[in-house]
Amino acid sequence: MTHETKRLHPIAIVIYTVKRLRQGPFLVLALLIAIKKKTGDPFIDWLPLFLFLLYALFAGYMSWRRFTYRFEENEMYIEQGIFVKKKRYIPFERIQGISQSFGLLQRLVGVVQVHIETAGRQIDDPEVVLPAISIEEADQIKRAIRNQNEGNMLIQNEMDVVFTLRFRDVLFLAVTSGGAFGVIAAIGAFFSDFNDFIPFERLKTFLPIDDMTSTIVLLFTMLIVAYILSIVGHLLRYMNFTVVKQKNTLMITTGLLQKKSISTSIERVQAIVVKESPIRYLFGYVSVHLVHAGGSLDDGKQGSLLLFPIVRTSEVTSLIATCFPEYRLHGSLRSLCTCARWRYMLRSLYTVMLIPIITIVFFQRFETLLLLVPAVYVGYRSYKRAGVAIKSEQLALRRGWLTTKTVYMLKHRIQSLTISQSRMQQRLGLCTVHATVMPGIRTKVVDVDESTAKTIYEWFLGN
Amino acid sequence: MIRDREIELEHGVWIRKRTLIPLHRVQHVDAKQGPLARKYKLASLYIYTAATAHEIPFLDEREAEKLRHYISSLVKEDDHDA
Repeated sequence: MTHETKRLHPIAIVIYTVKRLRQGPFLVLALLIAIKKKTGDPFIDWLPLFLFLLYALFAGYMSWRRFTYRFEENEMYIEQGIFVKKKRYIPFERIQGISQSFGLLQRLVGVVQVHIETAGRQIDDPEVVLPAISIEEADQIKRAIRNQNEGNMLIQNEMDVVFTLRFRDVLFLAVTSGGAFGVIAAIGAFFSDFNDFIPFERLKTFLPIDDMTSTIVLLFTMLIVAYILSIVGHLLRYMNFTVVKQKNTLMITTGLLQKKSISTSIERVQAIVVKESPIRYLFGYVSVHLVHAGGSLDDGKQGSLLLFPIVRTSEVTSLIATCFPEYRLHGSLRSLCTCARWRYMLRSLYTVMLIPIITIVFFQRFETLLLLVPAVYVGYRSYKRAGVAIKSEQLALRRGWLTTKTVYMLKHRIQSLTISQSRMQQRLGLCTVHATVMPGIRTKVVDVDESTAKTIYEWFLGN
Repeated sequence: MIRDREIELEHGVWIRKRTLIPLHRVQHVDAKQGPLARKYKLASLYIYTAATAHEIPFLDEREAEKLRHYISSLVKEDDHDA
């Protein structure tokens, strides 16, 4: 392996510049200055924006210039930082996972972005991002890591494609995604913020918006556009989704425009989460996430990795059994005892109670009392869905009302277990069970009856 | 309560909690002491696992120290699993 010190591909300048430009506060500041002062002189009006652009370009150049890296026998060395220099040695055996992505910019010049994840969470950010290196180098890193981890054993090239998404599934995933609502919310927030900037009076002269219907139509088209945008986004993201198992590593590749590949070792997996959202469940689909120790390889939450975005309920068990022989998924969870039902329903009642109380006391409106009906239903449903189960070395906890999450944890992965009991619960003989796995992900089920809680506690005692 | 293989904590007035931490999950132990606690010779003990932190508040200074050493010695013995 070469020992020379290297720089990233110069395209990194552009990448860094774009990144700098996207950084919120600077951009907002520059925009505000550009909007506020209108002296009429275009030069002065655009000066701050121009300066900002120049700054970003300069910073991008400097970030590239100061970023050097070097491979050595068993480790890689990275030096970066404009003002604060950061030098870092990463032993290959400490690397926990690696993911690659090809963005549009990267694809232009045929390089990849590599995301290296190490374990140390407390020190500082556990990830190193190499925004633009050649594909050969990326493979080199991967090979080095694998050699390290397998003690220079023969590299077995048997790869099993465990899972692929068909176009039909991707489409279904996109159509039923909650992301659509996210886009709508974002657009809504945008408009409520920028109300002042949009000259509604002037709009009115163009369009005769003085009746409600046209506003509604406008809103409706907005929603539909948002929905379509979200669908397209999902399609691009989850096209060609494949999971490949190669001995102890799982490789996930996905994406049409921005190709991404994530690989993580099976030993790093701390728990398996099965999510059932109502619409998908109706058609017999669920999604499966992995909880793995360390940073976020997927740009989602820390420690969470999407394994199967959407999969037939009937196939989940066998699929998981091939990937993770230690885990046994099953639907037979022990549901809670009936005395917990009232507590669940009351608890969701308390949370909404405030709205009717306020409206009745201050406005003498009684219609809001109707809100209590769905509240009771939510409570009842979360009671119905909650459950626990122990099967040999594995603990399963399930909770949620709209989307139910079932978390499967192995005993030797659980970091700590807490059983808590309030006075009220004590009287009814109920407990709350909390279990925590590695990156600080905590799961709890409320109102488990005492004897079950005791079994769990004793099960964990015999560690 | 500290046993051979795990630490068991019991706490809470209104909500009673019992926490179980297997010893080989313990990463490190901290003792902390604020100015007031120092005046009364008290110290709080923090037990860290890879994912969680647990506090044993306001122990007697010497007892905290003793406990800290005891836990760390137990952890070392039990160091078979990374």
